[in-house]
Formats: sequence, C-alpha cells, structure tokens
Amino acid sequence: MTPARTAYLLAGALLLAGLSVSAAPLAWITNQGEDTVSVIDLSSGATLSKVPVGGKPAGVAVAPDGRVYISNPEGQAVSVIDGDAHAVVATIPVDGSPVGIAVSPDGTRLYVSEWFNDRLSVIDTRTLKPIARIPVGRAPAGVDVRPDGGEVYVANRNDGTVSVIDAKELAVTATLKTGEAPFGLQVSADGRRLYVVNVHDNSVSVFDTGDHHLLGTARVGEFPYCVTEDPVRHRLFVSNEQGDSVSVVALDGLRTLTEIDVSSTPEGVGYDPATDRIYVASWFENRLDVIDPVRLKVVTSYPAGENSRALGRFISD
Amino acid sequence: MKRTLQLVFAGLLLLPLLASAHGPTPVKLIKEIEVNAPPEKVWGIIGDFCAIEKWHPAVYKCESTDGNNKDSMRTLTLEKEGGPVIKEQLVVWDAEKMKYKYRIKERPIEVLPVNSYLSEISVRPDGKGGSIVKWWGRFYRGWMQNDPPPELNEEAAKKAVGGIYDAGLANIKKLAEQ
Repeated sequence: MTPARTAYLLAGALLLAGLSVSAAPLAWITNQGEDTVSVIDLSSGATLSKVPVGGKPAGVAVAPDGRVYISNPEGQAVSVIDGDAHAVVATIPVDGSPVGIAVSPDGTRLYVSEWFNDRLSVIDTRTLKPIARIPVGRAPAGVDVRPDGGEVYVANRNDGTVSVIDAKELAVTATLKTGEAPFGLQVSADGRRLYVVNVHDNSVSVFDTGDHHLLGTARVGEFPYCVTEDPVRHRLFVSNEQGDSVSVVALDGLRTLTEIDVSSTPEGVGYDPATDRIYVASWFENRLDVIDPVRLKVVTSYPAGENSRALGRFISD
Repeated sequence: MKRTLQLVFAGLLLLPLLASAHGPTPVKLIKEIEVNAPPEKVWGIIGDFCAIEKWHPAVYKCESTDGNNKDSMRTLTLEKEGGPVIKEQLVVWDAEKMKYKYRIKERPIEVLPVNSYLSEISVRPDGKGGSIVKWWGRFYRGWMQNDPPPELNEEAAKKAVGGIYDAGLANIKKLAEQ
C-alpha cells in the first residue's frame, strides 16, 4: 500500500470515528460525592462511562474539539478529558479551589474561576499553561463566554456583581451590579443577553451584553442556582435548589410561566438542541431529570452518580 | 449531646450565618431509622415545625413566628433555659407528603460548625405497616477559607450534624413505638 493510500484510509477511519462520536449528544455530569464524571448518552439515557477525576468535581466545560474540562475545587486542579476516549489525558493545577469553568468558542482558551483567590485563570489549551490571572470580585463562581469569544463573564457570589472581561485585553472592563449572591450564569445563544441567577434574591438578572445595562429581573423559586436558555421558545429554565423545582421564564416581559417539580436539590441545568430537551442534575437524588420544554414537565430521569452537580455547559453534541 | 452540654457551661457566642459564608463543596448527610408504627402516627409526633421541642432530646424549647407556614422562623433553645439558641426557617411544609424542609439562619458555631445548612425530615411507609423516618442535610463546613482547622473541617461538621440526627431519630422511634 502506498503511503498516500494509507493516509487516505486513516483519514477515512478518523472521520468515521468522529462522526460516530458526534452522532449522539452526551451529558458530562460531575459527581462531587464520588469524584467521577458520568458520561450519559442523551438519546438513550445509558451511562457510557464513569470517568474518575478526583477532587470533588463541580464545573464542566465542553470544547468544540470534543475535549471536556472539569473543575475540581478540592483537588485544586482542572481535569482534561478526551471526549472520545472518556479518559483524563491531562491535569492542570489551579489553586484557590476552581469552581466555574468555560472554554472559548475556538477552543484555544479556558477560563476558570478561583473561588478562594478572587481571580479568573486564563489557560492556553494547547500548552495547558496559564496566560493570565485576572483579579475579579469575591468568591467567583459561574463563568461563561460570549459566542463571538470577545467577552467573558464571572459571577462574584460574595460581591453581588458580575465581572466583564475583555478577552483581547485580558482585563476587567466593567462590573455589573446583580442581586444578592449571584452563582450560575449563561450568555444567550445569540450572544446579546446575559442571564445571572441571584441565589439569595430568588431572581434572575438579565443584562444587555452590548452596553451592559440591566434589561430586567425575573422572579423565580427558592434558592435558584443555575440557568439555561431554550432558544427555540425564548424561555429560561432556572433550577431552584431549595424549591426542588425548575422555574420557566418567558423572555418576552420576563414573566414566570410555571414552576416544574423536579428531583430534590437541582443544580446544573442545560438545553440540548439535538434532543430538544432540558436536562437538570439532582444533587440529592444522584440523577439527571429530563424536561420536555413544550409540555413543561419531567418526562424521564437518568441515573448519574453521587452528588451530581454539572455546573456550566455540560452537553456535547 | 454531652458535648453540647459542656459547651453550654462554657458559654457560647451566637454567630449569624453570613450570606457569603461557605466553601465551594457541600456535604450530604442522610440518616434513616425504621419505626414500628404507622406513618400517620409518626408524622403526628414530628409534623409540626415546633414539635421538635417534644421529640428531640437536645431541644429544651421551641418558639415559632408563623407555625407551619412558609418562612416561619423557629427559635430552638438547647438543653435548658438560657441555653444556646439555633434559629431555623421553614422552606417547605407538606403534610400530604409528610415532610418539611428548613434552613438554619443562626447557630453557635461551637455547637454546630456548619454553614449554609439545608435540611429535610420526612416519613414514608416501609411496606410492612411501619415507617421509615429520613433526616438529611446539605451543608458546608464551618471554616470559610482553605485549609480548615480540625474543629471546623468537613469531618467535624458531619460529626456534629450526625450526632443531632442520631439522637433525634432514636427518640422519635422510642416515642412512636410506645
């Protein structure tokens, strides 16, 4: 066989492997109580793997190249998981207990909040080395990146603010006043709005990402934790950790439509376009509830691991 | 509870639970006990938010601001008149499901070295005519920074909460089986 022919066949095999992997949407659920990540096939609910990570994993960030990054607050590290092999391929030390984690849309940079250091670590995903450590507010938690990669947002839980970081300058360019104890946050699919959950105010603040002004505030349930957007029906789904529910908010007018009963102590919540479902991790019941965004009820539930958290963007398509 | 008594005599400082006060990793603690009595009877003993003064051996007195209504605040005095005080707020009270959920708003850290404490107590049938009482907590250790001292680490938090659950559940069983 000629080298060219071999290369061609190899490329074909890789392409097939790539296709087979991307065919099924997967949820990557951090199981804080057993130091693993459950890899759940969202088309069947089957757990394909449990990846040992270590250090009470909390945050998840799925990169476009298939890698999955996990924050381990007690392990003082970020685990790098190969999305095809379902195995840890590298561990990046991050001190100060990393919690929130997000990856740039081009996959080249990782943003990690250091809870006890009041900083945002910026890590080059090729060298796995820090590029910058940016001082933010106190107890930085949820992190997300605008889809154009230009801005990064960090919820400062103990300050009641969000730090806006310019990704080119690697500096804080604005500080937005939220409600009390902001934790989870998410940028809208179109990049124009930022949703921030205020744990102690039972509310969600919505900001314009263009000029950073507050567009409005939505009332939600007891001790909200995380938020995700249903971009099809223009609604927010907010996990209420102490209400054992998910609030549904219409973006038009920020009206709360209903509160859906879910398994106890819901934390991470995410929308998957492939299955058109909302997924919410139950910390207390160690499972992943599946919500039909049309009927607005839990339609099924998949087993995860002990103390499921899944903070951040935990679904890969 | 011996430890609680010793601390009462030592004199205690009441620390408010600061909104900001916890580390990044919550602890889950679950305790259950089988009770040879029907769930209705067990719920009849423990259901009222302030009934804890009757069933928990460490609670001397309970006063609530609004009975079993959401956000009602109960003030628990431990051990004796003038003893340490814990303030707890009702989050959910559901007689149909025989459970209630509450959070601690204030506690003496020497008695209860925890932060952001959430708890639920419930009764369910055991399928044999009896009941299972479940008491669980979600909380953070007492130390709010990295590197906790031993008296404020995760083990200390679990030990304190576990001791409270064990003593309470054992007495619920005793009272319900009388």
